[in-house]
Amino acid sequence: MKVKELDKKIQRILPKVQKPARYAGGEYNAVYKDLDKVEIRAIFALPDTYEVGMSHLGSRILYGLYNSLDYVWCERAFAPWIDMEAEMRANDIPLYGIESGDSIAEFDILAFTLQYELSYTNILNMLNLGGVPLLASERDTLKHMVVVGGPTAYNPEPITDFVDVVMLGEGEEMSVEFLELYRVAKRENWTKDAFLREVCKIGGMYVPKFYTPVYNEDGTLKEMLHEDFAPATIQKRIVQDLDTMYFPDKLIVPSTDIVFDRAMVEVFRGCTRGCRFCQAGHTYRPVREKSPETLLKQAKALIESSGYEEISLSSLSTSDYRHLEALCDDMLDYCTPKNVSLALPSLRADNFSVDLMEKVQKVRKSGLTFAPEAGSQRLRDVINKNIFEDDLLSACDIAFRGGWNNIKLYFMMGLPTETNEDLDGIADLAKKVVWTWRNSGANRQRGVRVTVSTSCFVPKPGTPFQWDKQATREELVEKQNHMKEVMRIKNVNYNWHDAQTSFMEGVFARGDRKLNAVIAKAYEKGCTFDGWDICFKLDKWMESFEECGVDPNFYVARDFGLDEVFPWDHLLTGTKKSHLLKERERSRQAITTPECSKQCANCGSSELILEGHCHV
Amino acid sequence: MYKARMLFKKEGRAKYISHLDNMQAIQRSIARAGLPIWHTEGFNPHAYISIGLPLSTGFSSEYELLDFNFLTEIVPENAVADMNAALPSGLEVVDIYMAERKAKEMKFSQYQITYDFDNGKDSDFVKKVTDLFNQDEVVVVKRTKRSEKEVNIKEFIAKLEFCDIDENTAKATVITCAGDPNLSPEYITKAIEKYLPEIKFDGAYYHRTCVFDKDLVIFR
Repeated sequence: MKVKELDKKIQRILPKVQKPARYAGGEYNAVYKDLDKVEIRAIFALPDTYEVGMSHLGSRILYGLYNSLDYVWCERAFAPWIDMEAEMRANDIPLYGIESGDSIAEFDILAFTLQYELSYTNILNMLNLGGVPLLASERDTLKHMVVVGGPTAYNPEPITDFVDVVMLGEGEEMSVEFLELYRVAKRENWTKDAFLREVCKIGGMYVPKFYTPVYNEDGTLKEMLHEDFAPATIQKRIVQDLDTMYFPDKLIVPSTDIVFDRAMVEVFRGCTRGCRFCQAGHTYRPVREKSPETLLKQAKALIESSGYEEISLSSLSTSDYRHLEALCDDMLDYCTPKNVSLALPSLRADNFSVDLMEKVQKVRKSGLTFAPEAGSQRLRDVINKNIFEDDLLSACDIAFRGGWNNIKLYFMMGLPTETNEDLDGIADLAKKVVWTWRNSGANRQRGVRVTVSTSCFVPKPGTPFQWDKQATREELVEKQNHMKEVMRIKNVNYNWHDAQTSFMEGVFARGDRKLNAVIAKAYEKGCTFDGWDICFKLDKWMESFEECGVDPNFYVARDFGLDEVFPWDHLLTGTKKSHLLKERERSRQAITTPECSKQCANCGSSELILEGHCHV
Repeated sequence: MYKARMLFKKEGRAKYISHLDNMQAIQRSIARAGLPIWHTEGFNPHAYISIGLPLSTGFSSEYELLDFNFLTEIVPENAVADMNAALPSGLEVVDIYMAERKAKEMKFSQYQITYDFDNGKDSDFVKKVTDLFNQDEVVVVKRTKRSEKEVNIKEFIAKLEFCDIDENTAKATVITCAGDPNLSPEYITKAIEKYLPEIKFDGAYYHRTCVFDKDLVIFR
């Protein structure tokens, strides 16, 4: 299929903007179809830059899946960076699908992926740049059906005014059911309302307009009313068998550098660990693995079709994969002669071995990262991290003996029950890692670099910490100041994440429908790319809260009632609220819960598996 | 290993790929095509390739040369077709051959510049710009990595001709120094904008058509 030239107006502005290849399309393995032969035009819209959006494996899978249907042509759109947006607006250029170059207003389905709460204003901006009405109620036909899915879709309430359909859980099967229904609706010219009523019957599909919140006087949710034909609760979808599930044999190879520029295969879904802060760990359950045979086959296909020089085995905790050693051996047999290196992100310090280390450094040696998350054993027990100091130091010992001299450590600040003593523990750990290197570093002349990064803890819905008060901005600033003092350690670099954006992230994470107006207001005031420090405008957000009569502290600066009804309670992840509450109680006593491969904690997600029990 | 050269076009959507990104895109295309290319050895092995005259981002070209090393003495059969099946849209290999001349013998680039005038152009455009460049000195501020200085760009131009295409379009054919010293054809446009401020372009497109050696003989 010949790729059409971009419109002359676009060609004129591209040389003026930074990294124009982001907006030009034409990448290897991008899909071009004949418009006359498709019935549905869909846009996979990523409300962040190209570099971030293209790094997301889930979107690349779903792009392949949509385009595997002969009646659908799915293109991509990303949030243009501010320089490009200015040129587009000055020259009357709408946001366009980067395959066809056509305005997104031409498309039937606009599917946004929700990776991060602070991308919400970008969704509004992208719709606006395409000339598509922002409010779902103003889009009155089947065209421009705005569909969202992804991790923050487990609480989509802050953006329900703007979206038509929310997909809960894994998209591989329900997307196809949705597209088939849309195809019928479009052929038969249904009304939007008739279509959305039918959408409610597809498992995992949430149509917010059929639900109405009723609030208590104190602003908390009393109940979520629903239309008779819409289910009271919506259960997220999972795919039962990952070996037979759709997975692309080709990935788009971007022609410009992106954040994670490599081939990726997905080793398993879910996580056995149950870290209490982790939304993915609780909402992606139950654990389902791919077989090593499937993974090897998919990895070979991707390497051959992409030409990538690196492939990563991705999952929430790759070193927990039961067949990892065998898989790595097979992968290396294939990759090493081709100069393709193997990346194992998400390694845990408690099962990092000499053997594993030798495998990941076979072709190229990159940095090594561990995430103890908290500085003291007490706090690590509170969050159920189940990592001990000895685990970390022995992992570092192995790595230093193996010639590494660059270790990154990730921690969180502002965890429930945290005190300055816990923060001091971070500094102690960093010092002990440096001592470990003095004792075991293979190459002392090269020196050692230990990088410690702290992010601010944000309580997320669907986790045992969903009831917790988030540390205030003032508290976080104080903690950061304390950290800057104690982290003045030779050979240790300290990085921290800004507390302001974490505050906003917290508001939207556990927000309700009252925030829709605030988002619309902040967008009017020019807020976009809120997740980017250089674009984030806290003052504009605070003005917007004020003008809408919404107190942001209601969502972050209070302990939620243990019997409180949450705006996301009707959206079921599989992990039951009663289990989360039990885990919360255990956390306050610093009692850990074993990983579910050792002992089932009865979280409830095994009910999603057809046989009724997990495969761990 | 055996020194080889690839002649390719960079047009359409590929115009916007920067030089460094283009190198990576071609390395990956070579891997997909399975060409037996020499990799560097050591810490971070990678397919060794080199482009002697990098093209500015946004320019198109029908004459890009890329040097690499084959592990085979002769060009493998179907190498061009295999590469073309593996390239992103807009990149197209024209020829692959064993390199005889050294890349540093490249001394001049020939470009075609297309100028758009959306509301019709000055009927004297060609005469005005031709007169301008018939002067002995055309001085423009030239930026280098380290400094900015005024230079007489005529010293770096081997040939320059303008012609009309239609009411809204004009064309320039220019041969400028390439490598060291180097003159981007954008300076032609800058000179016109400086000396003839009444001329307003709505679009300027740069397209490399050929590369020459010091004697203005086509370099291959």
